[in-house]
Amino acid sequence: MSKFQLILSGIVRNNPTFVLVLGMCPTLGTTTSAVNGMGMGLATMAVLILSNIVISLIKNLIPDKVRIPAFIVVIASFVTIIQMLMQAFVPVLYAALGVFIPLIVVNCIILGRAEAFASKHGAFDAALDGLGIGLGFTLSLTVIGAVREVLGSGAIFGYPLHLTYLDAAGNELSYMPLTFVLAPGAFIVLGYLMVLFNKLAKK
Amino acid sequence: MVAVLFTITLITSAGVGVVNRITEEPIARAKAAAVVEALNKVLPPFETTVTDSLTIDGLPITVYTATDAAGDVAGYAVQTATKNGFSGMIRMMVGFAPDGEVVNIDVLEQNETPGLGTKMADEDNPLLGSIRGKRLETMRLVDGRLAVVKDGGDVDALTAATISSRAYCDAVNRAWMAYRSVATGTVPTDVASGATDAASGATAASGENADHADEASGAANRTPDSVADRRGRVGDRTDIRDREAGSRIVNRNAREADGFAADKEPGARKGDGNE
Amino acid sequence: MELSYFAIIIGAIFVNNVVLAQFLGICPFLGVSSKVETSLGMGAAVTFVMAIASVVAWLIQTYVLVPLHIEYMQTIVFILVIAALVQMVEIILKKVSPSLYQALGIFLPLITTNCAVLGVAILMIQKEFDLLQSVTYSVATALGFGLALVLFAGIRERLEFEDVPEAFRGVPVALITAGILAMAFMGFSGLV
Repeated sequence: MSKFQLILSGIVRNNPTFVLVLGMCPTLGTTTSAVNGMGMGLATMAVLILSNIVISLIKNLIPDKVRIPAFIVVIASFVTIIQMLMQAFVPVLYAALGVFIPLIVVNCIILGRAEAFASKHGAFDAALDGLGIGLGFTLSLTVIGAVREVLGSGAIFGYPLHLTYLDAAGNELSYMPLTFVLAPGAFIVLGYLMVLFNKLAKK
Repeated sequence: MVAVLFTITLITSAGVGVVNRITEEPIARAKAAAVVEALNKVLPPFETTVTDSLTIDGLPITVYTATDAAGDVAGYAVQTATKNGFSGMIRMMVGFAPDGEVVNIDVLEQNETPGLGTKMADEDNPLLGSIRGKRLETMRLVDGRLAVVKDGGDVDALTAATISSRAYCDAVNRAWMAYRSVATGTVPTDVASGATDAASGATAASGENADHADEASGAANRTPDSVADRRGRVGDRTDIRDREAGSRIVNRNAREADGFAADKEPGARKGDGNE
Repeated sequence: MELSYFAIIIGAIFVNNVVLAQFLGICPFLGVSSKVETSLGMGAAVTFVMAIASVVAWLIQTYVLVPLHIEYMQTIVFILVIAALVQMVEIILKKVSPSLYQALGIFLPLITTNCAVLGVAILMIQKEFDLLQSVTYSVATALGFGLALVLFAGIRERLEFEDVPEAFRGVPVALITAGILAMAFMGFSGLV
C-alpha cells in the first residue's frame, strides 16, 4: 500500500468515527460547534501521531504482559503534554473542550491503533497511519460539529447566520431548534451522518 | 517486567515534568491576560490595581482595587465564583464604580446549558440588565441579598434557567459582600441572619482564621500579581502590592432562596463552611 | 453551599446522566447493550470499579499529587489506577462468576478505556467534592450508567424484531434511539 493510500484509508475506508465506530465519547461531547470539533480532532491527532511513533520505536523493548499498561502510560503522558500546551497557548479552546482533553487517553482509537498498527510497523509508517486516522477523525468531527452548529445555533465556525426572527418584545430568536447542540442532537446527527457516509463511501 | 513498566513511567513522567516547567509561564501569562481582559471589560479606565484576597464560604474571592492616573480610586473589580450553577462552577468578574454602582459583569467561566444558562454570558442578558448601572442597595433585597423575581427580588431571570439565574445572583452577592468589606473596611452583617448555624464554622474563631489565612494566601499566590493596564494602551507600570486584607469567613445565611434541594435536605447544610 | 447528597444523587443519575447528557461511556453503551442481562452485569462491574477508583483517585490526589505539586500527573496516575482495578475485577469475576465473565467478554477489560470511569474521577476533583461526596457522586453516576444501559438494552431487544431500513441497521438506528432516550432524560432538567 502506497504511503498516500495509507493516509487516505484513515480518512475513508477506516474512518474511525463512521466506519470503525471508535472514539464516540469525544465525538458526541465536543461537536457543539465546528471549531470545537476541529480542535478536538487536531489534539487527538497530535497525541495519536506522537504515541504511534514512540510505541513503534519501543515495541521491542516491552514484554508482552505489560504491553497494554505500557501503551497507556505513553499515551497518557502525551495527553498530559498536549493538555499543558493547549492550556498555555489556546486557553479558550482548552476551556471549551474541558474534561474531554484528558479523556483523549481513553479514546479507543489511540489504544486501538497502537495495538493494531504501531506495535507491528516501523515508526514512519506508524506516523502516517496516525496522520491518516487523525485526519479522518478531525474531518468527521468538524463535519458533525458544523452540522450541529448550523442546525442548533444558527452559526458556522462562530459566524452567526442570522436565521432569526424578532418576537413581540424585540428579542432576536432563532429559527433553529436548540436540540442539536444539546445531547439528543448529538446522537441523532451522528446516526444520520453515519448512514450518509456509508452510502457515499460504498460508491 | 514490572521494571520495564516502571522505567517507561519514569521516563515519560520526566518528559511530562519538563513540559510542565516549560509551559508553566505561558499558562500563567494566559491566565493573567484573561484577568486583565476581564478587568478592562468591567471597570472604567484605570492604571494600577491592588489585590485583596478573601475567602467567602470557602470560595476564594479576589478584589482588585483599581486606581486611575490621578491616583483616585477608579473602581473595584471582584472576581467571584459560585458552585451553585446547574453544571457546577461559575466564575465572573463584577465591576463596581467607587460609589457602588455596578459597571459591568463579565462571565469568565461557566458550563451551563447551551442556549439557556449560557445566555448569562451574553452582552445584553436580562440578569445583567437588571443589575448594571444600579447600586445594589437600592434594589429589592431578600435577607440583604439580591434575588431573582421568583424569590422575591427584582433580578430578571433567564428563561428556563432558574438555577443558573440563582447561581448568578449568588456570585454577585458574594462580589458585593467582598466589595463592601474592601471598600468600606467593614465586614457586612447579613440582614436578618438570625439563623446562623453555630455549628458551621462561625466567624473569626482565631484558630480557624489562621487556617483560612493560609488558604487566602494560597489564593493570593494563585491570582496573577502583575495586573496593570491602561485601557487601549499597553501597561508599562506594574505596581502591585498584594495586600492581604485578612481572610474573612462570612457565614452563609442558613435560609437559602434556591432550589428543590434546599427544601428537601435542610440537614445537609451542616457541612457549610467546614472546608 | 455544598450540594446536598440528594442533589448529587438525583443529578448524577437523572439530570446529568453520564451517558445521555455527558457523553461518557458511549463505547460500552453501544456495544454491550443488546441484552438486558449483560447490561445489568456490565452496570454492576462498572459501579464496582468506579466506586473504588474514585476513592483511590481522591486519596491519591489529596495526599500525593497536591502536596507534591504534581497535579499534572493526574491523568497518568488515574488511568493506571483504573487499569489495575479492572485487572483485579477480571480476576475476581473469573473466580466468582465465570458465566458472567464469558458473557462480558472483551468488554470487561474495556472498562479501562471507559471514558465514564476516568471522566468521573477527573470531574469529582474539578467539582472539589470531599471524599464522601466523591463516592456518592461516582456510585450515583455508575447507577445512572447502568440505568441508561438497561433501558437501552430493553429498547434494542425490541428493535431486533422491527423492520429497520438497511442503511440504518446496527449502529445508526441505535444512535437515533439513544438520541430520543436522551431527549426523554432532558425532561429531568428542572429537578435539581
